[in-house]
Amino acid sequence: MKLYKTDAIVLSDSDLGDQDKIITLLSHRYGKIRAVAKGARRLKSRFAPAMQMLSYVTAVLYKSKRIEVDTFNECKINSSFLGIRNELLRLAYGYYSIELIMKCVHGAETPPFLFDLVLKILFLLEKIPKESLPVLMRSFELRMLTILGYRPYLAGCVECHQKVEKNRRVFFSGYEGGILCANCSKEKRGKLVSFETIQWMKFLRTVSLDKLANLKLSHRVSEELKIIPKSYIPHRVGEEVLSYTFIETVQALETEVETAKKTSSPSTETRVSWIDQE
Amino acid sequence: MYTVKSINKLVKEFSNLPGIGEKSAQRLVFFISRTSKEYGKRLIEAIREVMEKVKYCSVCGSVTESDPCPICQDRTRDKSIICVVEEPWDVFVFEKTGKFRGLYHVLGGAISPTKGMNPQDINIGGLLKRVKTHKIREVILATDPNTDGQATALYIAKLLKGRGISVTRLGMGLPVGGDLEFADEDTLSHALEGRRAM
Ligand SMILES: [Zn+2]
Ligand SMILES: [Zn+2]
Repeated sequence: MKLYKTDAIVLSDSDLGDQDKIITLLSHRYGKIRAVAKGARRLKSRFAPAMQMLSYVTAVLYKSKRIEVDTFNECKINSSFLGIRNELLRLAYGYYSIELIMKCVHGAETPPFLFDLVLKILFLLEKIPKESLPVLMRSFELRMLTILGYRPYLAGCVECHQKVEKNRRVFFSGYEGGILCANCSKEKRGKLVSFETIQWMKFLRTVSLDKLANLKLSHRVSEELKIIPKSYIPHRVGEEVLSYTFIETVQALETEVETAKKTSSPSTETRVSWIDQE
Repeated sequence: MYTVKSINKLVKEFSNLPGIGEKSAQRLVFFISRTSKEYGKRLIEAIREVMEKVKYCSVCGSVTESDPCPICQDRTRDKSIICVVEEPWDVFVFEKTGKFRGLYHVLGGAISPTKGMNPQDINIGGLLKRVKTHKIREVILATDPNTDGQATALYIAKLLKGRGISVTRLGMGLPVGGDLEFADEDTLSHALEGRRAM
């Protein structure tokens, strides 16, 4: 057995018997790792606090020669991202980011800058203004897809390679993996999107992450960019990213709460309509 | 290979139980095969009784033999405080402390977006209905101190906002990352006393 040390982000944990947990990590240098945390289910475990999804840790692990599951020797928390955990909408995005990594990253073949990207995204997720959360996520998706070789084809039509021009109708197809011109789409395949949205897709892959908070996207572009999580990613990874639904649920609730705040009188007796959803 | 049909059958049933693998199941079955006939009868009777008598309270969702459960029917309890927990088992854990005199609400799970468990998949609707139809002063969110428990608490807190109800969460002292069911009475009593507004 060999000891090694790595920075990592906890992606998931599941119970292993009555005492232990098995943890999936995204590590800095060794890609996705699975490791056993002995005693982590016990109440006073030294491991338990560090073993939560979304924690940024430095771990010392035993590498097993025989099996693909390593064992924790030490684990120290660098950040548990309280800014994400303490706010519902940010937490919803946190779940989504983690699930995205779980489903897109496979095995040990990941470059260290993927880890750096994820870490940077989580730090931004803690503090970026709420209205910038969608654009942060779209930029994360496009960057990660690019790093992992899943990037959408945006240079021209995926079929005839014709360049996309400003005043032509352009379609985007998750199934086909990029742009379709009007001819190839025949108005059937893909979804009609604006030229601007395609430009944003290209821009969000490379723009400095620190500048995201200053970007203003039109309502139309924001809506159209949702084709990435809703259709493009599911087609590329072969399954749905389940927690995207939760972002939408929370977003809807926040909008309702905001509207209720504006319309209701200060009396606590007022029964506002959103309470009757069920 | 030598096998005994009836033993295999029971081993298979026991292995379906949570936390019991095939080895443990075999040990249990061999124990039962050697034990007295009286013990065997009591065991069968006990299982039958649970199957026949135990149901879920239609008000709070706890396990009970009568509906509504004795807690919901108890006139001495403070009906203006509801303690929200994930699993029926958590009610027993709180009752053991003897410190809580309000009512409960069992959600039957936690929100877990990556597993496809969304707010509509747990009994949040029932809680809203109770809050709407009764004078509730405080809702204590006692979901597990892990990420899913936190998401569930934040969601319910947001839902109950602006209704003149004080919404609180169990205080410090509860170890992060754990299951409520593993908490001892002292820790839980402290967490209950140290609850803070959300
Ligand atoms: Zn074409
Ligand atoms: Zn009850």
